[in-house]
This record gives sequence, C-alpha cells and structure tokens, in this order.
Amino acid sequence: MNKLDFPGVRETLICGEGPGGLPIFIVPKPGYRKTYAMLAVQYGSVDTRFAVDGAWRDTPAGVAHFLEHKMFDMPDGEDALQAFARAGASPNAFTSHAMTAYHFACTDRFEENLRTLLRFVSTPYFTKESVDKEQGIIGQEIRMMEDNPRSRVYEGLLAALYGAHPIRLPIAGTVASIAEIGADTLRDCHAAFYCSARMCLCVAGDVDPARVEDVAGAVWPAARGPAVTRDYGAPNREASRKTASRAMEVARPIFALGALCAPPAPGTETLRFELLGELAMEALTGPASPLYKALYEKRLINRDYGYGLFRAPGAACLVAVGESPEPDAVREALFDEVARLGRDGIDAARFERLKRAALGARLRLMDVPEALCRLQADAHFAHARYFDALSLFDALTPEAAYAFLNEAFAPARAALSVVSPKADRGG
Amino acid sequence: MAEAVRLTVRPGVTLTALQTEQFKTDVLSLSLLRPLSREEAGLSALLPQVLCRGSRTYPDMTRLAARLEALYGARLEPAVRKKGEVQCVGLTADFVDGAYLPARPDQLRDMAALMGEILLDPAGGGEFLPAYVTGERAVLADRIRAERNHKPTYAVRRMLALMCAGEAYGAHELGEAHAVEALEPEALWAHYRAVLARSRVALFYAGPRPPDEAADIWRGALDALPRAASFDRADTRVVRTAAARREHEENMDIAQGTLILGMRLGVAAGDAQYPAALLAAAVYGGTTTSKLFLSVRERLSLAYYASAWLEGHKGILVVSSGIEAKNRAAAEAEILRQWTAVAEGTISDEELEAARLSLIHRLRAAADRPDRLEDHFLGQAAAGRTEGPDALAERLRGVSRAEVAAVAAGGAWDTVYFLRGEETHE
Repeated sequence: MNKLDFPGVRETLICGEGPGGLPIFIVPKPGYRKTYAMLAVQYGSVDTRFAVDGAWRDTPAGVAHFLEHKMFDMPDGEDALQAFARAGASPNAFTSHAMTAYHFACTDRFEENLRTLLRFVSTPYFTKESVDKEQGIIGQEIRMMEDNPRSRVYEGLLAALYGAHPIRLPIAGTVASIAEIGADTLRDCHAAFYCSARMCLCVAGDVDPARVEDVAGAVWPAARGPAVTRDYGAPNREASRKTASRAMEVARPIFALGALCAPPAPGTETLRFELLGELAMEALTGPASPLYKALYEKRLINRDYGYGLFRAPGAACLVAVGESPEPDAVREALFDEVARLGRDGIDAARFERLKRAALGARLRLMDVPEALCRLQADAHFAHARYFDALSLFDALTPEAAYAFLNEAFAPARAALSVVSPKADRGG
Repeated sequence: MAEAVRLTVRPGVTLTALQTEQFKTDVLSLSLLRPLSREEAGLSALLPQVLCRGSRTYPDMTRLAARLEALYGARLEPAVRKKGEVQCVGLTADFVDGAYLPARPDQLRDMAALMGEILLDPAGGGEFLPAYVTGERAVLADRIRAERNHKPTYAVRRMLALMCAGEAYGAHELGEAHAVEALEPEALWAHYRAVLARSRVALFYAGPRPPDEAADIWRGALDALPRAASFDRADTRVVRTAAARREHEENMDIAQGTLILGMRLGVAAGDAQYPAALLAAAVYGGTTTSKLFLSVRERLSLAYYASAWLEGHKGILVVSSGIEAKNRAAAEAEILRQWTAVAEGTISDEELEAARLSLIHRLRAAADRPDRLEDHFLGQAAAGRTEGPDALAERLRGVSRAEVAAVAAGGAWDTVYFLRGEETHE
C-alpha cells in the first residue's frame, strides 16, 4: 500500500487496491472510536444514457436511486440492514447527481461490517415482487420531496439552466419515470456500473490498513467491469430558460440563482476550480462582503442565505440560495456587485483572509470521517486526491477569482428559480 | 477520551471542559439558562441575534465576519435551544486549534475574548442600536413563520405545542412571531441587563488545553459579567400521566400527510428507568430494525418513514410518519398496535439486542463529535446533572426485556396530530 503524508495538516492517506483494481483509500484516525467506511459508485442520477461495450441505451430517470434502495435485499431473504444491525453498525446510503454511496459507521466489529458492506453491494438480487413494492415506497419519498420547497427550488434552477443535461431531472426521478423501472433495468445498470473500474472504498478511523485490503481481497469480486461511455447531451453555455417559478405552502418566497460555468478538466484542475469558485463566491457575497451587509440590512436576505459552487459530471454553476421578499432584487444586486468588483478589484488583503478561512474550513472537515470519505470519493472520481487541494491555495489570485465570477455572471448564463407562497394562505 | 470535568468559573457560572487532542477543531459555547415561558421566550431568543450584529470593537456584521475570517474561518453563531423547560440562550463557536496553524496563534484565547465581548459589550454602548433590534426582530419573526416550510418538523412542533398547551414546554423557544415583532429596543435592553445578572450560565470547552486553563481563559473573558445575589430557577416538570386522548388535524396543500403521536411515557432523563425508556423507544421506532420501520414502512408500505424517539428531558415519546391521507386510519392503528407489542414484552432477542447495540453505538460514537458532546452536556447542565454518554451507554447494557416492557406499559397516549394533504390534484 502506498502511504502519502500531508505533514502540514498532520494527515495521512493510504492508497491500496482490491480485486479488479478496486481503489481503496484509508485515512487513519488514531484515537477515534468510530470507524466509517463508504463504498462509492461513480453512478448518479445524471447517468441515464450510456453505452456498455459500445451498445447505447437510455434508462428512465431515477434508476441509480432505485438501485440504492434495492441493493440492501439479499438472496437468502436477508436484508443487509439487519446484518448491520446485529453487528451494532449504523448503515445508510445516498444517491447524488454524480454518485451512489453505501456506508456504515461502527464502534465495534469493523471487519464483520466491512464484509457485509462489500458483500451486499456486489450481490444484485431483484425480484419483480420486491421491485413493484419498492415503487410504492419510492413514490412516497418522491412525494415527500415534492413538499420540500428547498428541493423544489433547486430542481427548478437546474431544469432552467440545463435544457438537455440529465441534471435537469430530480435525483429520485418522478412517479411516472420510476414506473418504467423493472428488475431487468436494475440488473443491467448494476452490471454496467457496480464494478471495480467505477467504484472506490474509503475508510476513515482507527483501523489497520492491511486488514481493510485483506477483507476486500476476500470478499470483493475480481471483475473490472465492461467499458462504459456516458452521454450528458451537448454542453450548454447559456441558460435554457432565465426563470422558473412555482407556488407552494411556504411563508415567504424562496429563491435559487444560478450562473453557468464551463465544467473543469479532470484532475487537480477540478480541485483548483472548486477552490477558486468557493473563494470567488465568498468575495462576492460572503458575510464579510459589502453586498451581504447591504442585502441583509434591506432584509432581502436572512441568515439562511447560502451560496457556493455546484459541480456534477458535465455541469457546473455558481449558486446563491435563500429566502427573500424580492428575489429579482437579489439577482440584480449580485450582478451589480460583480460589475463593481470589475471596476474596483477584489481587495488583496481581503482575499488572503478568505484563503485563511477556506483553509480553516477544510481543516475542520478533517475531523469528520464521513466528510473525508465523501470528499475523497468525489475527488477520486474526478481523478484527483482531496488532500492535494491544500497545496493549491498559494497560487490563487484575486484577479483569477474575479475572472471566474465575470465569466459566469453573464445575463445569458444565469437563471432564477423562485418558490412563492400560495395566495391567501396561512403565515 | 478524557472524562468531562465540571468547574465553577464564577458564581452561577459552570464550565464543562473536555480535554482532548483528538481533534483539529476546538468547540466553545456559552448559554444563559432561562426558565422557558411564553412571556419571556421571544425576548430571550432575540438577545443573541442582536448581540451577534456587533460589539464595541467589531460594531457591524462586516467587521465581525472579517474578524472570524482572520481567525481561520472560525464559526460563531447565536444559539437558542430548548432542553426540556429550560431555554438555553447564547453563543456557540468552533474553530481550528492554533496548533494546526502557521505561527501557532492562541485561537482559544482570541475566541473566548470575542465571545465575552459580544455578550458583554454590544455595539451602541449603554443601549442596543435600534436598527439592530428592529432588523433582528423581523428576521426572527420570519424564521418562526418559515418553520411551516418544512412539514415533518413543523408537524412535530405543532403536536408538542398542542400536547403541552398548558405547560411551559408548550412554549416555542423562539417566541411567537407576532410578539417578537412587537419587541422594542428599550424593553430588550432592560431584559438583557436583568438576565445577564440573574441567569445561571453554562460554558463548554472541548480541546487540548487542561480544564483549569480553559476556566482561567473563560474567567478572563467574562470578568465583567454581572452576578446577582441569587439566580432564576430553571427546571423541567415531567407530567407522568395523560388525560383523555386528544386529536387535532390541520390542512395544507401538500402531497404527503404527516401523522404525529405523542405519549406521556412518564420517565425522563433523571429517572432510574431512563435507559429502559430509551431502549423501549429504540425497539419501537429508533432504528431500521425497529417495529415501526419493519411493519409500517417495510411490511405494509403505509409510509415512507415511521420513527419514534424519546424527548428525554420531558419524558415524551414522539412518533412521526409520512403517509397518504387515505392510509391514516390503517397507519395509526398499526402504530398503536406495535406499541402494545412492546408493552406486552413481545420483543425478540434480535430486536432487543439490535436496538441496544444501536443506542450504545450512538452514545459511544458521540465521543468523536465535539459538537454533539457540547449539546449533550448543555442538556446535562440545564438539568443539573453531569452524566456523559459513556456512563449512559454502560447503564443500557444491563436493561432487561421485562424492564423495557414495564416502562412501555406505563405510557399513555396523549395527542394525535395529523397534517393532512388536501389531495385535490395530482
């Protein structure tokens, strides 16, 4: 196993390999009681159209998420959740635009739980009966998300920004799209994506790295998997629509503003892109910016206001999300502030302070095993290593941050999604 | 992990200190412990929001935020929490320990000093700046109103408010929106001066420094804190019985209904049977092997989620489920039936041990999360106790099936609340 030390932050990343070349990343956390393990698949909601060994196929929205639900079933009538429960672990899973991940945390019996994780994710078992039943459960989940204004406003934004990219579809799909998913769809997609070439295992905790590799060697199947090509449609550099709106049971309007960026090249460039995007948004609208104070004092935003860089395969945008009585005024103020930064520049001393704060935020995350594993999986799928981001700070300049903002904040590239209160109701 | 140590820093001011070198992040918090009441909740909740607008040295949010950036992105937040019938009002902070930073700055001393200044030396000198008060009262009122945006949380809150309408616990820890909007700067200032002197204060520190040193640093930061001759009492009354079961229903134009049930379990965190009560709640609805998860969700597909937990300070068991309105009667009947099974001791060895292991895991894993420990020990401080999660985990190991059933049999359903989707479309 390959051991990489990052002495500046006193962290170590151990890189190993399982059967079929399954990448294994371990971040030792001496003294931690909890061990966290995540098995991630580079298969998310955006992977609806792909070719397996040259044969193209289109799949309904929501397959990745549906698979996540059904993977826990095991052929012996057993449910992986029960196996984890018996060994005192807390398992869970999530599906994002870019990945599906299965994970557990435990304070005891780590190897037994790791075996369970590797075993159930590599064992497809789907019956018509159980798939039909799951449609009901996922249907409920979709309806729950439909009542969540934060999800809806974000979905509205992505659908407005992207006319063709499957990121425009909800992660779980729709009640109609999941009705098209059968046991065979799940089997095919599992065979295409759930293999060593498109997965990685990340572990953070007080573990013996050699044992992790041993357990993987004993349990994980050796197949590297077929060749897969993915298609996200023609990339768009302009927003498909400028606005999206919806009325819901909310007390005040909720907005999400997005501005398209050109997706970064893979590798360390992706890390640099994310860091620069984050610093640029801090400079534009972070709590120490003049814009934040002005918006807050006019009550155009409140402490729920958030902002940042969003990235998924083939897609990237800067976003600002919050509650506001006048979302259009927030949009206008953001564009005006980008113009002002163009005239006055981003203050160099302030930019150095923002770098300090960004470094601090990364250091804090290193205390959180869950975050470390997810960030490393994300970085790996972008052909990078998370800790390498730490060496990129010095080279970033205020001018580069401004250029980043200026490129994204062009009227043709931006969209504003708003969820407004339904008329004459509550509140 | 080292044991948490509780020290008295000044009269009525205690520090829970946890010396650990496990983390890069240090955690600090400061809470005034107030008796929760409808009259006072809004005033007390508004205080930390206004204080965080600015202090003497950092008189506006821009300068304060810049200071936090310079402290390597330290986070400092106003915090208002409800621990039983104690309203905990103050500040929480976390920040990278100086040992991990270039030039090794004394981040702990700097942050404690900043928190002390924010608490004791607000911008405006001998009064609050009126613009800060009018701005923050509007923001706070908006925040209270926005709670209905998130239906599952809103529904739990409504159920508890209806269930405890005649008790302090029924009050919202942020106050009522319309009352908060009417709060004036002068009244807030008078309240501020009074509660600073009359409140017990709970401090917390987790980080590498010895408890005595942390206490000295806090003592220095809070040197100007006025102290009265005696302090307002803040504790929680546990209601151990329910009258007749009450039902409430509300309509919203939403896709999914939310069914919430509340039970007087009659056992709270200070009681000997508390571990058995925790275990009963976990067997019933606390894990993916629980009765509610396996029956209501998995077997009957009546809900996307169905779970239960114990509000330990007040001794209330809460059940929450997301259902379609047409399934309401079936879901409710199943939820009640599963509790009866717990109370009758119809609990398999596997169910009992999985629930026990899950609870023990959660409690022991808390040692890896200083923010969770902070919240845990604030609850302990509010109740005048010092038990850490490890001690509670140990007590869970010996609980028997009969003890779980006995605690469950003593519970009485009190309130059923249904947030109904209108089902007029889709």
